[in-house]
Amino acid sequence: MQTFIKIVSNINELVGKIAAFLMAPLVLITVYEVIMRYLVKRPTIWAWDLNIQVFAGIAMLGGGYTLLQKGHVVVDVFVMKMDPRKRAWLDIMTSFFFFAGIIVMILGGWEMAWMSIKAGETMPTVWAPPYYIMKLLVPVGAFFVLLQGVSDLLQNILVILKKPGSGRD
Amino acid sequence: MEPWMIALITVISLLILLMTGLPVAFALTGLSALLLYLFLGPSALFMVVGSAFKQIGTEVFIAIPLFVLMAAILQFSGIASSLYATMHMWMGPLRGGLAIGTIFICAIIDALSGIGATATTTMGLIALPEMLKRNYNKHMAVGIVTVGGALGPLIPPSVLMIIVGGYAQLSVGKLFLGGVFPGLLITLGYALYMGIRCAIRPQDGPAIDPSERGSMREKVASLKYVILPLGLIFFIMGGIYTGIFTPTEAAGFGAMGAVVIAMAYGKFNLSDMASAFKLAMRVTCMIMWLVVGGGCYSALVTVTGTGHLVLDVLSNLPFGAMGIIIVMLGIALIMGMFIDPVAISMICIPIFLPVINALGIDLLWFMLLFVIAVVIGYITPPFGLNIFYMKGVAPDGITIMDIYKAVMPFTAVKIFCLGLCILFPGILTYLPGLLK
Repeated sequence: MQTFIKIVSNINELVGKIAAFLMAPLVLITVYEVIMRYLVKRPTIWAWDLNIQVFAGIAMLGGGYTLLQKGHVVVDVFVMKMDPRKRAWLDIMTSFFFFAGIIVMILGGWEMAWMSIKAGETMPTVWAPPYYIMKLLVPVGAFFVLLQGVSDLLQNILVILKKPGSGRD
Repeated sequence: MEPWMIALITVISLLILLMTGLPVAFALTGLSALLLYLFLGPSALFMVVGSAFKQIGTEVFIAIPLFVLMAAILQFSGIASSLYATMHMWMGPLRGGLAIGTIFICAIIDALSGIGATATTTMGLIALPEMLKRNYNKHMAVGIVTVGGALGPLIPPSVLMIIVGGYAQLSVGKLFLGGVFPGLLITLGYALYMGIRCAIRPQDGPAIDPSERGSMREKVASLKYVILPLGLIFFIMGGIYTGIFTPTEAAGFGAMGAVVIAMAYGKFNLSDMASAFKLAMRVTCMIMWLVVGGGCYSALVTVTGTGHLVLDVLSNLPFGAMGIIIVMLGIALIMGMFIDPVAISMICIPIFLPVINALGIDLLWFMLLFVIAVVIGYITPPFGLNIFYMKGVAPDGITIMDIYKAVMPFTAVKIFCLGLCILFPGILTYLPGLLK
């Protein structure tokens, strides 16, 4: 279990790094497009089509990393002072809702992307790049979140298996 | 099942699930998926994926990572300490001057940052120790730095407004302009409160020693530090106002401008830049997964007719439209004491929207009121975000109770200003009305 937890955190660290460095093209493309429009008077047709895909990449791929870093918003008013083992039990129970949502996103997202690939769908814009890359990002991003969710679940099981009184983590 | 039962389950089960400490984003997605399946069958599950995809494809949301990146770069750019040095010279000789100056610097940083953390974390490290060293009243000094940053999401640019705009299909440019007057109003309210307080109790904010006051020449020379930040603010807001930029494009230039400022102050380096990228990505993911969850929940609220039921309940209350507005803002205010403002927006807006539309209330005005109400949540105990940002940078000896006590008078000022904006809608709607 420990090895699995370690491997998943390494994967999400790496994917998170990739998502973070997508910030650079996001800034540069935005600035380039405005300069082309006003200074060169030749706006591109591809800048926003590309940028929305870069943005989707950042938002979806970083989800697992953010979960790893405990960066998602949590209402912890009521559970903050809970005994770690009870908290672990509670987290295991609520993870049912987590997995329900994420698995729907993976399966449904894959279906959406696969239909798009089969139909050779393109974006409804002038440049009209293939649409499936962006659609594929939904199940792929959700998959990294799923990995992290499984890892967190295992961690909670470890907390419960540990001798009482030895504390969380 | 009866419609009211479905509505009740939709709202109550979410509130219970949130209390268990499951991340709000996944509570929203998972619950929506389960309830859509239960109420409408497997074919409704496609709505979950559909709304996820719709949210990540909303072009105006591209501004979120860009504005957060801009804030993250400004954090290490040295802008805060330069602004503080200028302010110290000009405002120090006044009673309470350092505190009043600090709120003005916070307002400038807020006008460059779309989030609530930037001004509090930078000024908490720079202005707070200076004020404490000079025997300023501890609670006033801690309070002003805590609440000064919390205006970040109200004074444009604002990540919260981008989310609200993208979600309620309002012009983000108009929301930004609408935030200018209430932001200034609250800033002045804070300054006035501290000015009066220090006039009555001079020991709360003693003037700095004459030996520390700079000469007129030094003062004028120090003004050069203000030029770059103010220039960037006017560039961004002017660009949006005149329509040269969309808010997203302004955000891109803002991030670029922040890099230029960091270079001008000699603070630019690659390792800080890499952490800024990481921070911006993480905040973006936090927000976008919430927005995806909010999109799913919104689909659930719409197809189950929950929105209409809430409308029925609220319009049967004996208060009239104004009363309903106050009830909704009150809900946002109370939730703000416990829940993150972006999460509140994702939970409340789908439920409030049909009510606003049915009552014929000006949507822009209401959403600006809503933003002010949830922004108050950044500073209200027990779980205001800025209270924790403050605790993170405060010197030893400042307890969380000190901060709780410190924010109280400022919270009162903010609620008073919210009241003014309800009574005089022009404060919020005048500037956006000028935008074509």
